[in-house]
Amino acid sequence: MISIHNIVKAYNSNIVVDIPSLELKDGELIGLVGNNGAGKTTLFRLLLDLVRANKGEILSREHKVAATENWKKYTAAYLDEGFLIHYLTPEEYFYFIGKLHRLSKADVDEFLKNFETFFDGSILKSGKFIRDLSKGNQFKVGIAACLLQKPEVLILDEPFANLDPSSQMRLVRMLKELSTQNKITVLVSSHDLNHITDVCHRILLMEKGRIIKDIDTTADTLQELEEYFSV
Amino acid sequence: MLYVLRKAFLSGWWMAGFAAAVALFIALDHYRLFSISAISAFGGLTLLRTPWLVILPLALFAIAYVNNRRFLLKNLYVEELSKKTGSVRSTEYSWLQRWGVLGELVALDIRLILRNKRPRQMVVSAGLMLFYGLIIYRPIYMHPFNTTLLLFAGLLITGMFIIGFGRFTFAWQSGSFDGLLSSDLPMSEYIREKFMLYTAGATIAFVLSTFYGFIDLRIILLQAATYLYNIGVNSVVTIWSSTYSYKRIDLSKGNSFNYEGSGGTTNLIYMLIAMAGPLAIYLPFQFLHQPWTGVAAVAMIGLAGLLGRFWWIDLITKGFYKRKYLMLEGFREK
Repeated sequence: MISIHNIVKAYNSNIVVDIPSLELKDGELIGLVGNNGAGKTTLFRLLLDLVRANKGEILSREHKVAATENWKKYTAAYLDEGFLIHYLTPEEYFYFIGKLHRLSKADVDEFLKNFETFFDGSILKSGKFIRDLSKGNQFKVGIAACLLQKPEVLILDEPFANLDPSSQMRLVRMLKELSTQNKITVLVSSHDLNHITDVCHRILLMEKGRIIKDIDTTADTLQELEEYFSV
Repeated sequence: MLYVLRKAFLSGWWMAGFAAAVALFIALDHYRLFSISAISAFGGLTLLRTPWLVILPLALFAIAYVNNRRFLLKNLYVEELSKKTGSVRSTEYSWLQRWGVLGELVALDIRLILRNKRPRQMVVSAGLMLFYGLIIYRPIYMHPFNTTLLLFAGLLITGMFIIGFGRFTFAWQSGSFDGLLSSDLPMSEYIREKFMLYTAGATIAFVLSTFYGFIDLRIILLQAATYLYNIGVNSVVTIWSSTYSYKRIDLSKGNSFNYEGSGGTTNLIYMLIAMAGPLAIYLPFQFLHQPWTGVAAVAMIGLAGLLGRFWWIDLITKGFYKRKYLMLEGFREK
């Protein structure tokens, strides 16, 4: 599905991402963990062609991400509030994203019905622009907009960090359902080791731009990771 | 008085009211209907004759001080000053629906303008520019017909929207640029929409400005030429130079004196091409005593630019892809 070859990203000789080779397969649920500054967000940006790599290339279904646009049709991402349009209401934003993916207003409304509990009544018809929503609610808008696109690749940067506990549980359940029903490839980063080992089949551990561990999740994974992060 | 000034500082309507009141007093004074200066003179003289009355203004001053202090303490918290509690509603532009993604992008820009102070100010100033004609289309410039000056005026009147708003074509979306570029939105479409928007803006200005034809029909000819130049050449130059603008514009900072994103050499080059370009085309004809041929040349070059639009879109899209990482990086920087 997605393959990374010799990718290097450096800012002024400071190497942020350095991955010789990595394959992400169809339908995999992959967790990315690592301390701040390990290069997780930069890796995501590289996957979305939002920063230029110094070396190497990333292929999405055999096509170079940096040279083609077709991957945008099946890839959805939410990294931070820079992925939202702040002066729109959540509804307007959903309709806009829907329109880009040829969904009518009715389609979008229908889709959003599934999110009633996730939104918890504080997003739709809230009478607020996205810029006035709390960070957690902005994240919910971003996640819903991603799923609205019916993606085959989904990238989320620390989705658990800004959500309240109930929403975290709901997100965990949603991600699990997505991968079993729709066979989508999901890439999530998180500092929450419990959630990430619960959700993901495969864990990548990043340190200083390198992937130092690539493990299939087993019962021992959580302990293994806790040992790595303990000081 | 201070109270009114303070209110004026916080709200535009109070400001307008204050200005109107001052104007009214000046007018009344001028026509000798009611003289505020006489009152003030009387007050001053009385004060000189009976010095102990000085406690009156002093007391007023003390009251104003106490009142002001209380006000400042009460408004010490920034969020109370700026947060509006009114609820907003989604809007829909059904007339744009049949344009598909293009219409959706136009709707996005309309909302950008209506809901954010800085872009709105740009558009308001473009609207005010329409009245520039009242200053410039006066007998001293019309007899004899000062074509150079009037050409310049026409350029501003029909092109202010493109020049003012368009300069930040991509920077306006700083806050959403990561999202826009990773969403399934062909950039050529995005750039095409900008051309459409700027053409629409200039067309509205041109149509409205034809009223100056009542002063002199030749004005319409001049404005038609500059209009063509603005949509044919200046729109291209504007969007093209915006791909060199890497400074973030934070829409949440609604200050009038906020020049984020402006400055730099590209801006200078841009202003030269946008404003001096038509004059450079026109002036040689002026020296040959063929001013109207010069005006026609400006119009023809505008028309040529317009006919090459698809080619321009292609060219700008290529430049956009070349510089998109720089834009992304710049717009992310807070």
